Amino acid sequence: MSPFLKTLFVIARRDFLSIVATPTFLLFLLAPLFMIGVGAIGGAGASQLADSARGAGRIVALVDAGDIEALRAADLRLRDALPRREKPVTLEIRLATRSADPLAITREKGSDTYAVLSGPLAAPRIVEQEKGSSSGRYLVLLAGEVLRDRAAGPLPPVEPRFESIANQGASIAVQQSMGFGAVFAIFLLTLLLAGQAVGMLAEEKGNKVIEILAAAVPLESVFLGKLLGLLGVAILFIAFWTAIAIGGGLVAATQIDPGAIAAAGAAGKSAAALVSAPATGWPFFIGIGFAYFVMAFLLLGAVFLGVGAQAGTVREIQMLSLPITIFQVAMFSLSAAASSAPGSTLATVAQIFPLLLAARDGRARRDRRQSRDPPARARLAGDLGRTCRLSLGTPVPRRRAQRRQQLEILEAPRTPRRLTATAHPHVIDKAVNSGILQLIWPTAASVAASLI
Amino acid sequence: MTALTVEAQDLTKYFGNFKAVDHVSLEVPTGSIYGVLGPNGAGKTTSLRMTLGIIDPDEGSSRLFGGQRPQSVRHRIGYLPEERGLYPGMKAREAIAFMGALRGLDWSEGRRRAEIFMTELGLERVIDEKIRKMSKGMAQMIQLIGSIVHAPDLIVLDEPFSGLDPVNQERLEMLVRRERDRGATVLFSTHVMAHAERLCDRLAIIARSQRRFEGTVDEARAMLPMQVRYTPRGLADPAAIAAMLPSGAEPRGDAWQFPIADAEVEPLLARITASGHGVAGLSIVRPGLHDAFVHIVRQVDAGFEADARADAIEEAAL
Repeated sequence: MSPFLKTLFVIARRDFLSIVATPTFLLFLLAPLFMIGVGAIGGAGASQLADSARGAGRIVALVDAGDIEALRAADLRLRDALPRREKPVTLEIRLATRSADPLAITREKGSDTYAVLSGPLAAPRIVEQEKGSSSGRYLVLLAGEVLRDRAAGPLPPVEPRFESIANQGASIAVQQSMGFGAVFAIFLLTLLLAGQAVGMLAEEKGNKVIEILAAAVPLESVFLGKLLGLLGVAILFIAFWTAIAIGGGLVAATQIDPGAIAAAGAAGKSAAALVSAPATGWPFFIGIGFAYFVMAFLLLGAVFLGVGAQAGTVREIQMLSLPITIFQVAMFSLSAAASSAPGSTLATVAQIFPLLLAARDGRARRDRRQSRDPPARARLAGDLGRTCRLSLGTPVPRRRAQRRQQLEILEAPRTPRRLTATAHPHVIDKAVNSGILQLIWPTAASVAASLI
Repeated sequence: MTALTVEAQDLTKYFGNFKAVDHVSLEVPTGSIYGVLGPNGAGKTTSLRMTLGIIDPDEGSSRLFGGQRPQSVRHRIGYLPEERGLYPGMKAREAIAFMGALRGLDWSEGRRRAEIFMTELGLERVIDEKIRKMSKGMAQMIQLIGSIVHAPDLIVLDEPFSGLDPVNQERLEMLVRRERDRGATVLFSTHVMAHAERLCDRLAIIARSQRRFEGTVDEARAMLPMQVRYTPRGLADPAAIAAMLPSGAEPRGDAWQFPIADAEVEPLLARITASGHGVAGLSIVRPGLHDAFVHIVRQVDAGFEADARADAIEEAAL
């Protein structure tokens, strides 16, 4: 291993351990729990509310005694074909008496009455809460069913034979949503985790270790080492949650029999994703997703690290955090918008602008989805290699400039006669800042250039 | 002629328009202890940083170990910066191993040596203590160990004694001597003369950005005449004694004090013996490095003040 790599790993190791071996890291690691927790509580509350609202609603049919059974049978038949969420509210069938008044029924307490049917089935009177509501039309549909049954006489029962189409592969919709989900996950993770890089160099500046580092190793290895350390933290974070997800999945799988999963596959979209595969197959999908994450992380992390290095104090970092957050949100929106509108000008901009790597990722993924032919795959591999080289390799050719920068690390402040020994650390900071800027922008620019 | 570990020629550095270092040259013989002395803000730290290649000189060059660029021999150098800094969350043993690892030492070897060094320096109690729990002096000792743990051939210490108690100063001196005996070359800066006087084989004095002196401690002390302190036995007429002594003699209580040129010593002793005033006390000593240093710095300052006055007059005339 070359001395450069060796020192790089020394720095990375130090940074990784200093982040991981603290109680705060536990909080960081478990942060998604808060998100899940808040989401679950909110979701449970909302669904409870919806359930209770649904339970309280009803539609009422006031019919003659002879129609009651036919009406109930028609209701059961129609209700069965509708998806669960779109089933109409409970049907209450009452015997039509002379005193029964539809308007009085709507005013009854205890439940919301959406619509009331009364009068003969051939010419029913519908009293409804909202004009043209689905409840009213459902009652009309029921009436029609009863009349049609009666006119046609007894029919032989339909005897269907259900066959699964699962073996024909996943549907386009599922694959697309998988692609978008992956882009979303990669980009969100990148932004959230790379954002941690902002405060990384402030530590060395605050405790004056920077001079030891600058004296002992090239500045590039400090910079890259920090980035690598942070990447390690990010991968640990992802690995932790992936392990939890897989563990949870396995535990769940032992509770449910495979037949149920297959059955669920026909019913729900998310369950369908479980039994369907991406166009390229899972290993390639996960592998390339991970590779894209690493590259996007290194690129974004470098920018954040560089921007953060401009700040010397915690206060300055706090001041920087607002523009950085805005920048993150803006990039995320741009990337999301671009990946949902391939071929548009916006998408082209996103592909050219190097920091929206995930959008590029989205395009590549779509390419792959739309054509499974070998050339597309080859092109994709070329893309991957190029981005890889750019993300990892570019700082190395910068060494000469960087060396010069390091030598200028104590470049003078512009106020001559006030120079004292205490001016020096500040001077070091300044030099480190401009050095890091020198390192980043060429990286970004060369990525942009290669894409054009 | 002995080989030179450090050859820095005409190092010059401007901070804006201010010339922080002005053609300073340092030649440190291999295996010696070399002191860079100077008042605060004289340019010692900047000179050392340029010597080590941490900053680039505007003029001049620095070569180490016989013509190598400082950046190419980083692993052979140990450096204790003036601004002390360690990661406060690290344990002492890890901090030392980390600094060694930066210079290419194995982590495990670094940890092993850390323990040995710390035990030697009476710090075994805090081997696995975090830096933030230590006193400033302790942390400084840790950092010092960290800068020599990889057994470098050149050790550069910037103000290593400041902030240490007398016991630790003593230990540090011991450590410096031992590193020299091991074969390392030690270059350190200080403004405390006592350490320089005891330790240095050679020294350079930097004042007002320029090197004002280079040589051994004795050579520096030889710049000032010896001082005589003479106390006659019994009461005598001061005028008679003053007549016997050189013209610069001043009475201080019972004693008389005056400087003396090297050649004057024996004639003076003969005169005193012959005079019959007797000798209750007599000392003839070379002034310490402290006095020599103050003398040199004062001379430089006096020259600057004279220049400043002349400049002011010129400016007023315009």
